[in-house]
Amino acid sequence: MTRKYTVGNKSCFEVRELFSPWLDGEITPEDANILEKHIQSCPPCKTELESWQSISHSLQGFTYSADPPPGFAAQLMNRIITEQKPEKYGFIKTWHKTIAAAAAVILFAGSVGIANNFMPEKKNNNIVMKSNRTAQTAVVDNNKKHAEPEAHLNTSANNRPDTANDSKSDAVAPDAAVPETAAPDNPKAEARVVVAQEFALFDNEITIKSTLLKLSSDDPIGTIAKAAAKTNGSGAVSQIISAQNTGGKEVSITSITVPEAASAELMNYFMSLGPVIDKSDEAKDITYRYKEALARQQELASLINNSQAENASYRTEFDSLSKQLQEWREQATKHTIILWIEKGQGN
Amino acid sequence: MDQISNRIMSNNIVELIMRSQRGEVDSFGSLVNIYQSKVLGLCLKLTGNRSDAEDLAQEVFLKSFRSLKGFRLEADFGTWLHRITVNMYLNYKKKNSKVTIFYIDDPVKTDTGEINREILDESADPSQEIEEKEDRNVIKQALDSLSPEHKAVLVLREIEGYSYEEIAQITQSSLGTVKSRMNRARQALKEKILQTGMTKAGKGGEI
Repeated sequence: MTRKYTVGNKSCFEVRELFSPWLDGEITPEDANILEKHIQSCPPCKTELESWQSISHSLQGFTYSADPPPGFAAQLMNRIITEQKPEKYGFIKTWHKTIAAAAAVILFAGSVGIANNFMPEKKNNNIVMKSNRTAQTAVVDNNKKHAEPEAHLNTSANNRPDTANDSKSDAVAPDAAVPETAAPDNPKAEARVVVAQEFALFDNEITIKSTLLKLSSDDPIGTIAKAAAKTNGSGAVSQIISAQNTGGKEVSITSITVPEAASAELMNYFMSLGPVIDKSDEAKDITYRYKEALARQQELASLINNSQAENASYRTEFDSLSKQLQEWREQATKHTIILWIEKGQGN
Repeated sequence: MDQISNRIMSNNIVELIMRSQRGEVDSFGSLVNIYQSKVLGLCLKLTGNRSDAEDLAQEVFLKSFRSLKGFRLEADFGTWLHRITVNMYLNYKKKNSKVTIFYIDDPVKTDTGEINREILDESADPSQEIEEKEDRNVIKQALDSLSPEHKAVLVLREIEGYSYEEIAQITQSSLGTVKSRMNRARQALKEKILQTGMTKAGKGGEI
């Protein structure tokens, strides 16, 4: 409670109104003078100001790591493009640009989100361009990849809830049905938890790699078919992001997630399919986030194991961290190729 | 040198904004890439947890794309985005005042098993004493329990480092309001800290 007595011309109440401006350097010299004089002869106000100042310092020391999650921009651009689409017919004209934007953004955001966001198991409406005007329909058979166990693992590991599916979702209401599987442990099966040893074993850094490969082809459909055949035989997961034909120019974009070991061979094969227009690689380093998650998991393990009382929330967090780490490890062993094929002018 | 690169940078941004205003989605994508950390950062500080922050940041960019035509090029784009952020945060809190929000220190239990990552980066200073950490946690908790309006001005000032003038623009209020609100916010924060500290001390039979 602020006292009502007066020192000098101003009451404590009035002087305290000046605390913030003084702390923030937003005070006039006259007011600063009043405040400083008052403080000298009023211990309660002095103490109060000191405590404000120390809280202020603590607040200023807060640091936050604001790394956007992988796929953040891609998800957003998806929503924007999807939202824009029905509005204008004129938009068709900028079709190519938007495809380019989507591809560029996806690539920029790193590959993590791609496998997740474009998985066919989820509703397809988060795929950027799915159009009746499409000249060629999806050639790559998405169902085939279900035969691949590796593909399935990748599918289930979901980093973020897919809010792109629900463009009208509330601002602050995470709501998602993430498929269950990756974490093998059943939380209730045993009381003690152990951090999986393999989590701690990793090379110096964990990076998630992707490549944008642009090809030109006289016969895009044929090229896509060839690419698809090769992809399906290599343990990769592929997904058509878009296929479009406007003004005589056809562009199709496919995202292929392939085990790192097989990526070079696959890439070489793709490059042999037609003149390469452009090729750019990107590696996103998630080592720091990985280590952070690992440390937290170890901390949780000791909390859970050393406390008598069952703490369900620790366990939930522990399990989700297991999932996340597992997912990162898997993704780090893979390479995402964004294959862009456009109809060439008879090269 | 720095000034030159700054100028090039800001020219580029102005161009990207103009293109985006004409509906060029790829230009807007570039803006998103440039500003996503800035927006997400403020969202984290306001919401107190990562998943809400990411959702809010998505909404902020969507909203900004829709209202891009109203952006005046002489204004600072980052500040404008922050204005939208604060606005949406306050509106959201108003609409959902009954909704319990999970804050960073409470691990969130969800069916999705999604991680509620800790966002307060205490690894910054490895020599930090446990006591100091405790203090910070108390302050963080107190900050999160303030009214959205009080929290917003404190975050904008103390963590984002905006001036009163800028805060007035961002929160669309007068300078006088900012001044008095800032003072009331600090008062409220101090009281919350005292309360929290006392509850902790009262509860904690353990040393």
